[in-house]
Amino acid sequence: MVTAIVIGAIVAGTAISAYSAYQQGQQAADAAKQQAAWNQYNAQVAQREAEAERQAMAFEAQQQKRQGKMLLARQRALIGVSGVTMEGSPLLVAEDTAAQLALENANIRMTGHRRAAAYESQSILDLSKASAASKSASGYKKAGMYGAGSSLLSGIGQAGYMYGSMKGKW
Amino acid sequence: MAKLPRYTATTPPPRESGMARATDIGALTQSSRSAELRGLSQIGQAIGGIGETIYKIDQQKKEIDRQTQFDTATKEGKEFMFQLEKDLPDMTFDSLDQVDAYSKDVTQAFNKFMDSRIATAKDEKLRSALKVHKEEAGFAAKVWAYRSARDKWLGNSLAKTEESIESFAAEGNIEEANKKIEFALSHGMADERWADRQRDIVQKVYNEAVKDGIKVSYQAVIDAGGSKQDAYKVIDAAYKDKMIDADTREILGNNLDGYVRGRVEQARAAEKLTARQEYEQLIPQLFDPEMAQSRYDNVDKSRMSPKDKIKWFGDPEEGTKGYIAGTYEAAPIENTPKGHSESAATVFDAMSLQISPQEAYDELLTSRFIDKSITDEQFNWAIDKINNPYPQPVADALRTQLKVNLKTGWFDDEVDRDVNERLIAFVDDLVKKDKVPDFDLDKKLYAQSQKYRWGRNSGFEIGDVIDIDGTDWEVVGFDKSGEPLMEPVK
Repeated sequence: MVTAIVIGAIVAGTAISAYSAYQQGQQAADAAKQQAAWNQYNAQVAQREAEAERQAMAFEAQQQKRQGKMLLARQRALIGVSGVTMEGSPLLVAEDTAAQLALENANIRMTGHRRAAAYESQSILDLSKASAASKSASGYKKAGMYGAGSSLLSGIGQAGYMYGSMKGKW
Repeated sequence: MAKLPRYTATTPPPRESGMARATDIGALTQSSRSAELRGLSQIGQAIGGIGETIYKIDQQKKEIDRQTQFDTATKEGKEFMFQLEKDLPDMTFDSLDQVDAYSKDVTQAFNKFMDSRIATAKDEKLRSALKVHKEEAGFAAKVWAYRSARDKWLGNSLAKTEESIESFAAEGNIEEANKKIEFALSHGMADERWADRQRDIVQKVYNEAVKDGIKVSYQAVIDAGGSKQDAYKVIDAAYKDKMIDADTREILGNNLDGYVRGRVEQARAAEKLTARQEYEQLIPQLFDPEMAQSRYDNVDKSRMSPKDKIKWFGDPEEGTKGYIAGTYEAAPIENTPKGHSESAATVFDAMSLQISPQEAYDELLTSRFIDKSITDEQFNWAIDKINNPYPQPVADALRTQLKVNLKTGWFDDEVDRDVNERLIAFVDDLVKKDKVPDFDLDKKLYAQSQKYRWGRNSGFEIGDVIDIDGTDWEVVGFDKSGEPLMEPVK
């Protein structure tokens, strides 16, 4: 009677533990898949952030170019009104302004490119994470099966030992 | 002409896509299923844990049962060995083969006993433990049996060897005795200390044998009627032949003196015994007229004289004649103080060994048949007391009190005699009933004498307890007016 209770409890406990281990593996695999999906989602978000950054950069560069043209035109108009020719210092001022405007435009573009590149890098990283998580899902599945098998083996071994011991076999 | 102002848009398109990144993905991927499975796993572990706990309890119980059974079996094994050990003292071993056989028998018997216990063991673990015990204890039993039996065999062999050695030494065969010692040594039966001890014994036994031989020789000389000087010649001859040393010669000389004295005493004792036997035969005859007559007819009446007091060292035949003559005269019937004093004095002299029984007989016979101073009753009492004396402390105490009673001077001799006879009867009664007190007998006899002298009509006895006004008083004596002397009971 006592032997039956003990062996029954060990077998039941082992079965539950094995089932639990298997299901935990499945659960971990599902979680990994979900994680991969979320990482892919983040990659898309980063990609879109890069795109938005590039559009903003193009717009700012275009507007800066337009403002630069308007500034140079105003400078030329002011020189003409005053009777001053485009020789000597007025010419130098106009050339300097054009150079600064070109530098500013270049800076705007470079900043925009870098920001976009950062988002793209983030996107690549997220894709990598998604890939890794996707791959680990099958690992979790196997781990769950191994855990279940391990529980079953140790439980059977323990039950066998206890049975033999209680029956006075050793 | 002024130009119209132009507007340049300053608000760039949004820099962000408007999508939020997924953060804390662990939380996003967590589901209630995980917690459920963890709980399930714990339930499985708990059920398994219950099983393990029951298992442990069961194992502990079984272990206790197993230990109890093991202890019982090993205890029975020890008892079994104890029974075998008890038989050992009665066993003898004459050879090493027997020792081996005994060792084997004991081991087999023990193993068989343990096998019976192993067969009834409840489980394999107990069986294994008992098997191990059987191996260990069986080996110990084997060793014990072998050693015990071997020691007995060695002891037996050694005892026999010692007997042989002593026997050879007693025969004067020192050479054979020494051969036996060497044999025991060379066969590992004993060590050098034993050998030295045996050599000493051989020498002593040999010396004793020589002495005994000389003793037998000079005793034979004495027994054959030779003189002490003739016997000394035997000792001197042995000394001259260097069979004995000067000390032994002196010892043997003293022994010879003792032997000669002993022989003389033996002769005297034999003589006394003969005389006593004669008296013991004579006394009944003296009280039997027909037998006395037959002896009387055979004696020379002309030489008889009832007044002749024949002492022990005198001629017994003459004394006998005197007593026989006395039987022809009327027996004294008056119990006189003198007769009492004489018979009591003779009895107590004999009891204290101041005179021999034979002398006591003689005095009593003289008092009865020649002086006619004691009655038949006094004579028979005295003879009985000589043959069956009081224990020494009783005799001493009674004799002292009897003397005291005779020296009081208060009453006449008749009263003294009466007091003493009552006191003797009192002591005889105590002895007969085995009620002699262990201490204060002298005080008891003194008090009893007062009772017989003054308190005989008082109605009280020594030792009576009287209640006076709620206090117990014990009678411990009597005064001259016959009133009891009392002491409060402690």
